[in-house]
Amino acid sequence: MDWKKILKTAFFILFFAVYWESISREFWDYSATIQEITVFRTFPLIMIAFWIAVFSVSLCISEYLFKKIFPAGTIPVFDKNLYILEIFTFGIVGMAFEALLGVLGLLEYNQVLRWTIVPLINIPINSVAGYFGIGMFVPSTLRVFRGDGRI
Amino acid sequence: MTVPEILICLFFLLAFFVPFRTWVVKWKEFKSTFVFALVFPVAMQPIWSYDPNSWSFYISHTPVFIMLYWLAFLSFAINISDRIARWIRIRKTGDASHWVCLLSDVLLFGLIGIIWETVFFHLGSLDYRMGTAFGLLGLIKIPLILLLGYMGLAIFGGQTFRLKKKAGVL
Repeated sequence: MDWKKILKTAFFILFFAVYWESISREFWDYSATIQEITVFRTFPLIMIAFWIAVFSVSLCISEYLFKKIFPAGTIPVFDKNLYILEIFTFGIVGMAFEALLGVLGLLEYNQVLRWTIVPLINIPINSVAGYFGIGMFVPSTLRVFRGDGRI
Repeated sequence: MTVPEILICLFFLLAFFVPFRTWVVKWKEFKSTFVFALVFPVAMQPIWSYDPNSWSFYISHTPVFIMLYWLAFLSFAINISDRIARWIRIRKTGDASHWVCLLSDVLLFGLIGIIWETVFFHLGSLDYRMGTAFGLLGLIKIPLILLLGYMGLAIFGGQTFRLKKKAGVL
């Protein structure tokens, strides 16, 4: 991947991280540790790094698996097989990373919102659906805006 | 049937027939939006609370007609946005730019979404459990976060709905 695409990907992930951290503010409370270092005194740096990690790891795994299982020269903007791989990788990686945040005691869910918690991993079922949902929509959008191809 | 349910049915009919599409396109469109319409309102349940007198049927504490609303909303917003983008392309750039689609998606998703949220909210058929962090939208008293949510859906999901529709995947 050339540097222009890497920059575009980085910008897209940062945009998503800032957007999501802005609108989901009432879903959970971050611990004092997370809020120690913030960007623009608003967005916790750890959460920005969290989203960079979720996207990087998920994209690497899904694209690697796609190339291995369905040999293709380049990654297409949208492909049914890649689509399924991305749903699962984003879902699993996102869940694992959020469960890790919970284990480390870095976030608490807002109890007013009546979450249904998944046993063992202790994260809301809504979050699980959210990560699978991100895998369903965001990677293809990223590739469109990165200029990988036209619709 | 209650008033919001009748309104959603009318909206669904509008989305189904306007603009004109072939049955094949309609089926692909249905497939591409169905899973989202089913899962999204359930996953986002903490945001909305539904008035029990306004809705008849529920799946996992979410009104079935709200799922129908999302189905109609996505089809209608994407199709109208496509029309606008095509019109702008013909008149201005002559190029199928995804930026034009993005702009029309954001405006349409925001506008149509807020109109419906305002209708449901003022009919008393739903309320919001969250949304004060960004304040309310002036006279209509809808949380600003809702507008950002609809616009975010357009930004991060609009293009993928098109790709899913084209490929005919769930």
